[in-house]
Amino acid sequence: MGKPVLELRGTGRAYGALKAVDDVDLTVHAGARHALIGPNGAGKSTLLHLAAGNLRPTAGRVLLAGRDVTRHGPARRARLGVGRTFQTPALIGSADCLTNVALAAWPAQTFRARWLRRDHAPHLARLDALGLADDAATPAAALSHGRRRLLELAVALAASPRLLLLDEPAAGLTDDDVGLLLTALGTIGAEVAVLLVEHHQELVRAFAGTVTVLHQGAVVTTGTPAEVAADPRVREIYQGALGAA
Amino acid sequence: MIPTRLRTPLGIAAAVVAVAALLLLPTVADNYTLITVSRVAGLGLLAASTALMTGVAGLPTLGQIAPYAVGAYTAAHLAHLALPGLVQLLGAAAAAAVFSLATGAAVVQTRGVICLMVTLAIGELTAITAGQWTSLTGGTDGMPRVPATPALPGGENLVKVPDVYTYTVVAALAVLAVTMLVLRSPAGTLIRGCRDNEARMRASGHRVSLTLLWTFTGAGAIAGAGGALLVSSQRTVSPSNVGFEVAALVLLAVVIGGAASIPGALAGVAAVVAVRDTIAPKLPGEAPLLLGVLFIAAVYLLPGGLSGVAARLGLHNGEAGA
Ligand SMILES: Nc1ncnc2c1ncn2[C@@H]1O[C@H](COP(=O)(O)OP(=O)(O)OP(=O)(O)O)[C@@H](O)[C@H]1O
Ligand SMILES: [Mg+2]
Repeated sequence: MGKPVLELRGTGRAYGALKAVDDVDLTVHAGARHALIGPNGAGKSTLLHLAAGNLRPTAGRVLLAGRDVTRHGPARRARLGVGRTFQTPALIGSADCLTNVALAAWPAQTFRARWLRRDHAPHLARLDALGLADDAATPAAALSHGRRRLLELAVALAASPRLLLLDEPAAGLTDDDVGLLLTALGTIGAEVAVLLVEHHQELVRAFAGTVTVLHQGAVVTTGTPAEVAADPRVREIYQGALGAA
Repeated sequence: MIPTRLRTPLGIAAAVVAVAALLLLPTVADNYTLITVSRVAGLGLLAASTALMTGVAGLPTLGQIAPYAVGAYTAAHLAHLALPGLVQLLGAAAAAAVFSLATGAAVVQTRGVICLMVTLAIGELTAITAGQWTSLTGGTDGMPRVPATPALPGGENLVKVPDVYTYTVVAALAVLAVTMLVLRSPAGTLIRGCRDNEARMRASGHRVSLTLLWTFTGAGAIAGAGGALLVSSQRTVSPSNVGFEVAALVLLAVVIGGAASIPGALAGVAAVVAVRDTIAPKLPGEAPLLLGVLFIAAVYLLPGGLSGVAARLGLHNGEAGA
């Protein structure tokens, strides 16, 4: 296991009486392939928002590579190496796919590269890896829902993050596109830690080395996919996500 | 690096024809027409500034009248110091930019209707200040006798109507050209990105509020330049030039023009002023009603505004324009 990239320490987010995320301790290690699963409303998306800075926690702290970023906003955390996708893909609708990827790479580039060098090759390669090469000039708003998800993954990867947070990347994808997604996930470098929220059980099994189960905002257990699948508490509260693995 | 929309050949041709027609107008038109058009030049920049904020940056505003006022009064003072038109223009733009930078921190935190209300308040406060700070603005009388100055140092004073016309139109076109170039650069992509999806921009590490603040500052400079051109063309300025009626008229023009399109905003200004000056005098007292009807008609009959119609005609390829 590598060093911790993301640490949540007693982190919580309450909406009035509802604790969407409740006193969670979670560590994602460098290079990890970490899945976060749980039934609908378990607090998975809220937890990603807390990690990425889209939401401020109402309790506890958030650390990135040992550094307390609890009070940092999402843009600042992104510049510290956090990339993410959203449950509903967030893209620049009026801009074409190539521009969406280029804009994401921008903060990591020098002024000269941004404004003067017109080098699209790496961006096109990213699009190609997700089967989007033909759509390079298509506005993001004109893509199908599934293609938008794939584009958002290309966008999230374009900034070369150290921590990648993915919120249900396979939702709404065709089987072919899930194949593309899995291949693309497989090519993510070992230096990148991935925290993946997903219901798609084959994807979780094929991809994750560690699984954390969330239920009613709290962590039930963390372990290998096999350990988690064998856990009777998990079977009780969360049926089906890992099947009979 | 980032390909923005390509203009269609037809659209480029239309722009060339429009610019040529404006520059050649003094050879065919009477002085009344020239005066009218040169007075619209300042309003055109105000509309461009409003379209930049409302349509391109996504912050609907009624308040660009404020930097326009700052620019107009600054230019009038610089004219009293016998400084040439170009210095008035740059000085007005700079003063309006500083004003916008100072007020922008609050504005860029708001969105939608709240933004409209905050900018309305800034505009109203500025108009009230213009009416009351007598030592600086001349109060409700304004500054009625702004001296004529040359356009450039050492030139002839701009008094003849064709000269005034040429100066204001060329200056307005220059400001618009710079604006549209900036909006075609990566900076324009950044601004439209903030409008389209703030969450994505932030998730990719972009400082959305800072981008919007710079945009607001630039839009203020454009409006301020418009104020300077107003003073150059009419050689007076008073609170009635910078009041709510003008702000509403310009927002209407921008909506008619299609909000995100600067050429559309200019066309909208031309349409609104034409209606105001040709039909309204025949219906005394009904001008606001007339403009209201025009507004409703525009919203229902021209989805996407005039620029949406232009897109359907192949003059440009629509959406997210500049
Ligand atoms: N802004 C909000 N205000 C009030 N309650 C909220 C808000 N956002 C989320 N919640 C609640 O917090 C809980 C967790 O929501 P969250 O979206 O994190 O769940 P999830 O695990 O991502 O679910 P799903 O699998 O359906 O995406 C839910 O009960 C939800 O209704
Ligand atoms: Mg969710």
